[in-house]
Amino acid sequence: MQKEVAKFNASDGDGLLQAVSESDVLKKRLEADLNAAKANNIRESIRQSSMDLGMYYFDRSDYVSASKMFMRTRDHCSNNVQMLDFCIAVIKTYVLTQNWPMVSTYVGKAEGILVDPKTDRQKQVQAQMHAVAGLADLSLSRYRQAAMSFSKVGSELGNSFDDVVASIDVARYGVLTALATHDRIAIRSQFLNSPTFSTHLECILEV
Amino acid sequence: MEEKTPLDLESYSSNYRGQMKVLRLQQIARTSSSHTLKSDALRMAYTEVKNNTQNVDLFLKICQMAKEATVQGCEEDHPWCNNVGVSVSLSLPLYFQCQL
Repeated sequence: MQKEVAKFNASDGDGLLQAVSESDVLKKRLEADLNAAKANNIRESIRQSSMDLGMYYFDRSDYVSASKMFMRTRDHCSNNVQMLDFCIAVIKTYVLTQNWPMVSTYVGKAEGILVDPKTDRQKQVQAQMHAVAGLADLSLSRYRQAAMSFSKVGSELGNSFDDVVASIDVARYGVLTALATHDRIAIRSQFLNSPTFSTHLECILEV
Repeated sequence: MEEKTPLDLESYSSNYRGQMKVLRLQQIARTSSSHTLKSDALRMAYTEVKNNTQNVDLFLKICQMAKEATVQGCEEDHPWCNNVGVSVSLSLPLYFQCQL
């Protein structure tokens, strides 16, 4: 703190004050990386640098700046994997700002890419999209749709989305919304006997 | 609503990570009618946000909630705030504000 006070008092000739925190050092490095990538005009480097700077702002709850940086990565995506990474980053930002309509929009974009998931990663992302779609429907009071979304979440979700919604809560919310919106026959066929949802039910024995 | 089944806070919060873990603990503290559960949730949130995030705004909100609930051990840490990041909700960085 003494060092910071000294810096505060001793401004340079132009009246500018120098930052001394670790955070500012990191920000300067990330901005320098992005500028270098732009100067060299390497698409992948620009995309990765923009993503890194976006995550810097995301971690510090500057979600407006974070979403701007993530949007810039979209123009430099070369394949579907990178597009999915972009969608996930944007969705996480909108979840924390509780902008549920935009969450639904980007879930739609991701699901458009995941038409026929083949790899483990694609199936995992599909499970993540169903989970966050359920969360958005729940928050927007669309309880029937929320139940249907949660019922589609496969075991591939695991703990991969624990920074958004945990598997155990997917199970709880799915059960509660199903009980509230479906009849007994539908609950048995679409939830209890569902190959995807039944794996989550094992997590909540008390229900 | 009276809580009949005590929530295993440690077990539940271990399902989450990152800023969402702190937000879930904050929500439990906000909605709990039990002072013990509220205090435990706020202390866990305080530790988590300080050790595993760089979110100064969330840290200050947790400190404010702890102060209002008279929970001990959740004091504001300005050196940490200054080092980790700039508060987005404040118009100036914290280390500037300290001198005003």
